[in-house]
Amino acid sequence: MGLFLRVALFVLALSALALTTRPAHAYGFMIRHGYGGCTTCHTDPSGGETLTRYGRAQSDLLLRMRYGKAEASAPPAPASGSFDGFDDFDETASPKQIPAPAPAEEEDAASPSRSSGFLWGLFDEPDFVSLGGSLRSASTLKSGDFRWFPMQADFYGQLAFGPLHVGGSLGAVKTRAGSPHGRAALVTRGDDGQLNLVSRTHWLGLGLDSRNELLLRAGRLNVPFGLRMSEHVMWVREATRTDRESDQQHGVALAYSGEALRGEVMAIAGNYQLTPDRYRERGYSLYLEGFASSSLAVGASHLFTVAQADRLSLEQGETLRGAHGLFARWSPLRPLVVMAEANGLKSSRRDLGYVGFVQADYELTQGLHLGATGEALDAGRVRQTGPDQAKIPGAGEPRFGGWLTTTWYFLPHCDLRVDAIARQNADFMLMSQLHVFL
Amino acid sequence: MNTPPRVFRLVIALCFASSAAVASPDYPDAVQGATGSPCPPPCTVCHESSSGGYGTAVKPFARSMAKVGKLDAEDAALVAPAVEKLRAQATDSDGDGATDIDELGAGRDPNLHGKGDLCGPEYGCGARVEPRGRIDGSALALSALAALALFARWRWR
Repeated sequence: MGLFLRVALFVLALSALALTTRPAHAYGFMIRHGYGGCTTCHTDPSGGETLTRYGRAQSDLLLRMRYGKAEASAPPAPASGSFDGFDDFDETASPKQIPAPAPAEEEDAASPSRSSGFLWGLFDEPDFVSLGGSLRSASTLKSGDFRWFPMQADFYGQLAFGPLHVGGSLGAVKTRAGSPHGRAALVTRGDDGQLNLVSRTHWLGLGLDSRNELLLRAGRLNVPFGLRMSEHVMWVREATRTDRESDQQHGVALAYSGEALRGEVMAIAGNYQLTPDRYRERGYSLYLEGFASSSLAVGASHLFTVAQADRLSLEQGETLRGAHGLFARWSPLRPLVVMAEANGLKSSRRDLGYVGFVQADYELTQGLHLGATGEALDAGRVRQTGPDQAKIPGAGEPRFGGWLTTTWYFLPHCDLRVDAIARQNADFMLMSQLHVFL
Repeated sequence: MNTPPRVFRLVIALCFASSAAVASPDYPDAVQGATGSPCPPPCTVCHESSSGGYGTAVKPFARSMAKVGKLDAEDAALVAPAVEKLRAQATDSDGDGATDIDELGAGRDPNLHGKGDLCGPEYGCGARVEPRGRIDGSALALSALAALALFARWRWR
């Protein structure tokens, strides 16, 4: 990469920290390369945030555009067609056996570039350290109104000392009046529009077996439910309150990452970054996903919580909330991945509801993805004191939405995404995001 | 690496070189300003859910506001006149004996019969990062210095 570009990227990325707000990757579509599980490329057993060294290499080899070089995306197929064949990597090879990054002038398609490392290879992390970060700048155009805002500025990482793991994230955020985004993960307590520290996850973990298949964690964790994805405003994540933006909860979780099965169950103790206690949701959440073949994974999720008041609707009194559903990822052809999730919803003072989505991701050429998503929501008619609420789209009647997406992984650690979003009862919106991960 | 620098610079310019505007506070701040409520009310004081959208402002208070003002133009300046009309009419949307505007001013939810809680939970652990009203210039300068130091180390390694 040219000197100018390297410096410009780095300075811009760090400068964005001074502004700020929300989260990053977890690409379910990597199943097209035979990666059904998450632990090969991510330190979180259910995916997202911090990449392993191997994950960084695969990001460089399989995800980003190669500009005329032979694409390296021929899948290094799992030896046994197992669910998480590349997790075997952890058992059979030490990190030092990963193909060494080639010097920039000797880059070829078969080995990851040196720039795939943390901060584009500026530092070599010790083996027990995995560091990362995400800087995301977004702009929206809706009804002629153009807005730009820093969406995310997080650093994250993990330390691993034998079976003991310590992980977490720390970033900066500016919340917006009236908006729920960002708030639930705040560490500091400034007013809307002011910079605040945010920690979406922080946890201690203990590996329970020599194969690294069982990991017990305690702390603030992503809620294990459904498909882990970057689109935190997708209805399926909003309605179940299981996004990676700020919906994490404190609790204890046990994750299993096996060859044909993976799953995680979490005892939710509540979000201890908010007060008073009556707004904290307690309960449990879990998912289980099985690999029917090297290109098809099917799973189920279940969530149940109880609080003494609802932190979003602000309704007082016991608030039960449940979500139960199925999800799947399928790659019928290598360039195409179809992901779907459907959940039933039940919460206090509402009728039964549902939420779901279907998304197709097509890799036009390595580094350039086209996507189409359809989503549906009926969270259930609101039943309050006094006259019942009328049925409206999204609450008593179905509400539909559609996304068309283009994502260009144009440089190491950089992608540009443009979404055209049309939702019933909402203005058409164009949204662009420039995402740089460290 | 054979990258197209012109394209890349254009991308950077489009996505980063915009003004550092913070999203407009719109209605929540306008309601707080007009009613004197102790916090900007959440979107759910009017809308069915926090994701909002046309046709989803169905809460009793939203219906009362809609009767006295055309608020569908997304113009925050329309909020204060509508609030004043509700105040003059002593509208009580939830029928609990306290007017909507009094409830908002006291931090209570005008949609819920009884006390309610307009402001909801407090988030964060108490400290502040940014002194009130301060511009982020120093943080920007520090970031740039850190970037230069790291770059220098990389070059001299």
